[in-house]
Amino acid sequence: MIKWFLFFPFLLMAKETIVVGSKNFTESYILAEIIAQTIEDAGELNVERKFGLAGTGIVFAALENAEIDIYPEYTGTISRFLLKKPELYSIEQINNALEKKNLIISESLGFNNTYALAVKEKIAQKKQLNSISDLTNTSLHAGFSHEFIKRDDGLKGLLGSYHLKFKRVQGFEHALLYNAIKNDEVDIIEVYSTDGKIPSYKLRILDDDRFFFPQYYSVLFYRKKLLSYPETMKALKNLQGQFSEEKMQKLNAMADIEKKSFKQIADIYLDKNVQKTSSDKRAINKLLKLTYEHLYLVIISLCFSIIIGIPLGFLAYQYKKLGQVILIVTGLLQTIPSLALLCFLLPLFGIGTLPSLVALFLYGLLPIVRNTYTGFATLPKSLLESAQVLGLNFRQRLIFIQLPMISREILSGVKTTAVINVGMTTLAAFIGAGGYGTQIVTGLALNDNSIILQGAIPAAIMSIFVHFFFEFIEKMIVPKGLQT
Amino acid sequence: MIQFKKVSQYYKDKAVLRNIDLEFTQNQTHVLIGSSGSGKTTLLKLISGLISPSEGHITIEGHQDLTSPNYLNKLGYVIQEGGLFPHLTAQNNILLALKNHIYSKQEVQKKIEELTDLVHLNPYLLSKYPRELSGGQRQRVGLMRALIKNPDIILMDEPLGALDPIVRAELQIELKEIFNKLNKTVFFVTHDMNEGAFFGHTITLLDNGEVIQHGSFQKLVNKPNTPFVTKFIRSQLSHDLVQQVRTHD
Repeated sequence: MIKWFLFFPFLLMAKETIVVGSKNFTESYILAEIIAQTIEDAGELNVERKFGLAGTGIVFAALENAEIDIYPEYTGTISRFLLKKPELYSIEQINNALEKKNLIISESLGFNNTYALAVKEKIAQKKQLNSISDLTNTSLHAGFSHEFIKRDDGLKGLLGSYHLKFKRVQGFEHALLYNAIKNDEVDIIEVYSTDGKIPSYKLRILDDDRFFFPQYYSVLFYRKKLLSYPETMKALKNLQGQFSEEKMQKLNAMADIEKKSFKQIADIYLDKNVQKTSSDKRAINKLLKLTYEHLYLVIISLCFSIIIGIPLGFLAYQYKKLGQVILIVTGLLQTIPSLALLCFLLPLFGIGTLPSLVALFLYGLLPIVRNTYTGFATLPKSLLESAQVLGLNFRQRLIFIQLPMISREILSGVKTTAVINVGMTTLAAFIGAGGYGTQIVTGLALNDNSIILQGAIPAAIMSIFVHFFFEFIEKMIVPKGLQT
Repeated sequence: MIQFKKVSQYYKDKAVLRNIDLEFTQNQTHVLIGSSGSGKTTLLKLISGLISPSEGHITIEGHQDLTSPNYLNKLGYVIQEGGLFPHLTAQNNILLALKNHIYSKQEVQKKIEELTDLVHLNPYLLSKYPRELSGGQRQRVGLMRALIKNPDIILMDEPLGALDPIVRAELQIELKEIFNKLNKTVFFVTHDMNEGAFFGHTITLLDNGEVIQHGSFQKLVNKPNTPFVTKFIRSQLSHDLVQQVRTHD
């Protein structure tokens, strides 16, 4: 099976490959899967899926850099967030502005998924809340996503436009807002108007009576390259205007409430016979694929951390001043939040495997550099002098005395890096590099713990495995005289 | 003849040895003694070529370059606990000294057999790691390693320092026998005047980077240069022994 994955890229060489991306929330996943299958069915192109990318910034950068070729986006997001021209409304205006970037948006898929405020039906009835204006003299406890709180067309603008005040505003991960309101932690939340959970959580959407929220019509956002595939374009055109808000709510609910997979939902939407392959077999195949991706990232990045880290540790020991610089820089790298580091690397390496490897490599340096340095620095000077008087030259002292004597320290640095890497690699899914994190990101988007665990448990098992693997390696490599 | 001419040694502006003029005869055992910080180990390191003097120079049989590989080949060096490398077996510790020499297996085997005889080491211990050996055994292996290149000069930096008193006394006697047998130039650093008196043809008493007195033990007892010499000797030796040496002179 693993062999098959090794050859996977070659099997795809026959047709050209188009990369479909998505953000990490339910609707984006579903639309992206529908787009992907539509393109596949058109028969001109192979499709690679890079779903669950973390946030608009990353997905858009990926599209600009041709790391992905198409993903579902919203007009409001493109004009405000990407073009910084909120005055652009129509598809035509936006397309004119995108002209230079070689990017195009399609006509609307049919629904406007704008922000909306939702309160519990019970509270709405009690306080007679129908529109956002009705909130003026209430004192409610609000829960909003971090993105909503920051955006101009989010909380800031809303408060100004309606002269509102909330009793308290709490920041959440978007997917967790529904839980917060369900558990009465907050009274009012922001929702996307097509969220599948709105009916089943018994929420009332407040009318935007001052038309504050911009329009967020769902569109296909793609590179001009796609225009040269007529069958594909024809098939994609058929998606336009096909989705009403209710229909999208239903599709979202299939994922969020009925726990159907995105593939199943796309199959249902595209009216396909749902594949009969047993779900067990599919789950195992998926697990193997994710394991392969995860291990690949861990092993390759670890190798580079070792190849660069050990010499750096030695240099730090050999040249005291340079050493301070090396130790400070590798230490600083650790303090950069992982998502931020991935974003910094975006312009240099794009998305996917390469930037993930670079980030993991950088994070992996410190334990190896520090342990190597400490190992060298704490070797008794008298022993090295003995070696020198014995007639061993610099190279011989390094190879026969120093390195073997500090092998345990170096190895424990490598082990620390490896174990940390297994955990850290789950973040690679945010930039489309796959691995167990894919399940975690999907699970977070769906607020589904069982899917999160499908990623978290294998990662935990892998880190235990890595731990014992290095215990074994230690027995092999560390000289017997040093073992306890 | 090993000569020190106006040798001073500084570490970061601090003098650890000041203006040393000394002469050591070949094929004798020379004890370098003093309290910690007196400069005795620095003196030994200067002879080993591990460090070069900040001022003045040292000549050995007229030669001055103590950092050349040729000179290192004439040295054997033993430190506390034998200075054995914990990751190598006793045998491999010894063979390390021959890394840059070409000997046939038979030659090496023969040398090792001779040396195990000389230092009274049970040959089966050669396959052990240092941590599996006692302090005394480690010291014997260290001595074998120092001797395998058949050096002209043997440097010992408090080699018996970490041993318990009984083993230490045994090894002192054996070591002296070995020194007599081999008839090499030995430099022996210690802070123990008993040990110094036992081994040394000459004793060099150092204090605070300066040579207080250089000469035989008898000379130090009978014609001390300064009251410090007498104080140093009296603080470590029994009154009886000092009297004995006096009457012998």
